[in-house]
Amino acid sequence: MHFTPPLARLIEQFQKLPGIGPKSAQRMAFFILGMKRDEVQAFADAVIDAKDKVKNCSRCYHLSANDPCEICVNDRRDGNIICVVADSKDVIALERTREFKGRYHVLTGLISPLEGKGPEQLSIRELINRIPDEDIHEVILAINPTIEGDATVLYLNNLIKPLGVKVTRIAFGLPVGADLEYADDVTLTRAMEGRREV
Amino acid sequence: MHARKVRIKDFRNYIDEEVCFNKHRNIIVGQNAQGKTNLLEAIEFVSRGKSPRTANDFELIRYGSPAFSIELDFDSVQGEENLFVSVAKNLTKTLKSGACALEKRAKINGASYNSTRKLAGNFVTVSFKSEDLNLLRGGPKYRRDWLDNLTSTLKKAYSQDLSKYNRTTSQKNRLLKDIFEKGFGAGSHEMEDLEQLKTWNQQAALLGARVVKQRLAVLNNLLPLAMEEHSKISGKKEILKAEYYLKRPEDEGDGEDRDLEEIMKAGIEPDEKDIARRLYRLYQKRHKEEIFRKQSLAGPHRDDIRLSLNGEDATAYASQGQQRSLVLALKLAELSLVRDHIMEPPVLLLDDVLAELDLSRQSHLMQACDQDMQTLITTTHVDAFEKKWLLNARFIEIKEGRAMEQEEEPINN
Repeated sequence: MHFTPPLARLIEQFQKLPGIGPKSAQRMAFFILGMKRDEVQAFADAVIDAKDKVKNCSRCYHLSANDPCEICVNDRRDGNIICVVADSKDVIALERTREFKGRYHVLTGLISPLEGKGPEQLSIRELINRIPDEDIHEVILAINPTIEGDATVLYLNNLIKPLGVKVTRIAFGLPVGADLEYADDVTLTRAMEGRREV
Repeated sequence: MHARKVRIKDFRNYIDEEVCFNKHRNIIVGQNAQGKTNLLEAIEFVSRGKSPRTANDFELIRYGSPAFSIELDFDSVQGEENLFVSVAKNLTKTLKSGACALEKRAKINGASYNSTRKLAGNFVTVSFKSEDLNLLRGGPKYRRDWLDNLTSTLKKAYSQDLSKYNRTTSQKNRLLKDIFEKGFGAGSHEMEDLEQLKTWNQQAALLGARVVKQRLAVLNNLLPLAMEEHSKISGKKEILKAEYYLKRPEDEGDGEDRDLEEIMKAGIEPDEKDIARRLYRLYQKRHKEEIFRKQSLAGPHRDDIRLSLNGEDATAYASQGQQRSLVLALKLAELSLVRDHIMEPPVLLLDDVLAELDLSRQSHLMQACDQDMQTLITTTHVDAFEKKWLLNARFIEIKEGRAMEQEEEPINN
């Protein structure tokens, strides 16, 4: 039994989304068919609207409807510190803490030859240009401790250190509020290495 | 530590079988190709989360069935424990490579995990297989794998360090290939590419040094024990050396490299930073050759362990008998190292190995595991054993994937 073509097309489209298999796609498509027409219209408009209006900020590459983005135009932020992240999602995560008052730079990915991503595909050159242009004193690398993350950190460090700018990387170790006995061995080992005086 | 009962479902040639063991010696008898080794493999799988024989768990599922599972009841100093693992074909998903996706589950004392990696370190075994006798004759990979296996038993973070290093090497190899294919020396992006290569070299050097450092620590702990065992076996004082050999492409090495190698020859553990520096220097100096060959030419994935007896290379000069004594000494040393580490006797798995040893070497091995160590021994026929080793042993006969328990020993005196 096949789906009628418009329904089949909708299911296919949902299936393109990350984490969505055939079953979930089907469920979503049937749900759409059950919705009121104006709700579906609003849904479709939101998709198009987001796609049309949200762009990478020309300065920090954060996703925003404005260019430059809200963070870049905010004068109350410390313009001399820059926090480098891999992805726009990381900016949101860090912003939730309200702890960091500087500006950001989104790399739009990490160096990974296996996925065909080199420094040219990332916004690394733009980051380097910002350092003298905006008189940056410190670059904080908030990048995941994965193979690709570590390589990207090394690459950036090699480029930025010679400019005489302080480069730091966020610490890794035990999650706050976590129980020592439940931490996995590797995390504990790294936390032990990164210990510091109290 | 000893296994009480293992239940195997749809694993290799087993359909659904339950096998019980006693606390001491268990002799698993059967013709060739009946499933003796598969039984030990199942026990190793549930204790390590992976098979010693294949990296592809798909092969382990009995032909025509959708999933296999292994459940092990065992006793340790902590009391009664239980491990469970299952691997199922996921028929709705295919991997990029076209292979069937697998769904793996593990349970440790009832708590579920999605990864079989968690299993490692709960039920500890040391295995000695007839293939291990090739440790000396085979290529460097045999020796690396052996040392890696032992190191990951003794150092918990090691297998992750090793897989990180391996992933870095594949990233780097891909980059080398990309640079080569763009036409090295012609492109305008050459500077950028070399800068990126430098980064991967740094990363590979840092992670590689961590791997080498841990391997060296284990080897240095193992060596005195192995030497002692060896003189007991051979009855004379021969000087056994196991030297970790850092691979470097063909010719020389500059002054500093030599220094590091001298330090290692003297049995002193070098600093992790020094190893990293050496690796990095090597990579940078050889980058053109690496680009041309499209692969990383040095590092832990190319290193070797060189064993020598009285200064002579054991691979080339040792006789069959000497090689056997040497491997046996290494294995016995491994056993006591693991025993000290987990602070209770591990379970010894002997796969087809006793028949390969003469009576005096057999008794060395059997003495080592005499006291309170559980042993599972496979063999095709019991007459290869000295009779006293058969006393109080439990006999399990394997025939076409079925286990039958035999009443006491068949030849009693």
